[in-house]
Amino acid sequence: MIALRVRQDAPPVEPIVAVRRSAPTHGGPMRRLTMEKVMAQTLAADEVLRGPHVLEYPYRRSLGPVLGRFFGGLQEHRLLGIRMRSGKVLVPPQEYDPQTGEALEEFVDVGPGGEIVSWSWVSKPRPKQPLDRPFAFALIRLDGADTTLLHAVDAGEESKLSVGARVTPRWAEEPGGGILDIACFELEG
Amino acid sequence: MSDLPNALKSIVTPVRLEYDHSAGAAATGFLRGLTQKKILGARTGPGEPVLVPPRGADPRTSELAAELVEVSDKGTVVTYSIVRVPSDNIPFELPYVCATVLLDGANLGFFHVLQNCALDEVRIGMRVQAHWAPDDQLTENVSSIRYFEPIDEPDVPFEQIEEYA
Repeated sequence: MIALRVRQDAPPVEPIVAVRRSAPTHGGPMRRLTMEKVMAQTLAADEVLRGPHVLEYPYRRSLGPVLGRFFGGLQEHRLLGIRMRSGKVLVPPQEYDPQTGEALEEFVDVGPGGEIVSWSWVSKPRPKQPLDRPFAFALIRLDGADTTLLHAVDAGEESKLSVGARVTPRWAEEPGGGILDIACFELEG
Repeated sequence: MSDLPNALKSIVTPVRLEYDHSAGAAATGFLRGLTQKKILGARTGPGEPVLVPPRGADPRTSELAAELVEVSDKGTVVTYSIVRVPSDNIPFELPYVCATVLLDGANLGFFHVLQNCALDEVRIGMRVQAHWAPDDQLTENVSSIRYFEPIDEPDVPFEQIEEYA
């Protein structure tokens, strides 16, 4: 693995297409290459340019009437499900009954507490994940719901988690629109 | 339920991928060339199509394209598109034109931005030239070519560039 060294004298990145391209950097100290060497393509491995390349799409997704209510509810610290024809409650809510295809419209308040149905420990969180310290991704069945919601649980350490453990939402300080208006769930008590 | 919350119309769900990208030998040659205001293409041998920017191999035959060739920084617009949608990483004022430019000496269109050109004047066959960054700002980055702009040369007839349009 060649260590990445970012040129300090490079001008600000000025990408020209829909992807971000940073200025390529060098594996080692800057060398002056002659055009003869470039043209002859006799580059040593550490003379091949490399650098960070970030691809990012800021998608804005349309929610529709049902998920729109769900995400609107989060901003009021409310959790909404929707009742299926069978009487069961879907969380997050869906527009159509997955069993019969009928349009659904009976919203139901659920939670805010719930229980962990399944979980997976994340020991090294990645930059865009909900928490910057080790946490669990968990399937959470909120009280009153018949399906599970995927979210992060801030439990501190893995040994505190178990199937059936009670959790409750920690709301975001500033709602921004989205599932992270629930900052995460935390263990009750 | 009568007291439903207000519905949000949309949310932002970004997708982000971070790569440690190796340019490879062919593109490295091309990027090095830019620091000297040279546009380099590659071909498998004399008389063969010149690919710009260079690929390591001819995509039709997979044959190694090891011979670098300098092409002109002048070329002909072979297709274009007017961009009216903003993006926070695009430093050009909207609307602007993206064009595929067939550089003189090349056999593959080169994608870049067109400036100093009214939207209703851009056309297939129009002659353009690279506008380079100032010498002290030339880097191994395609933005060393700031943009292309029209030049005062007669249009190339469509028949001559048809296969690239």
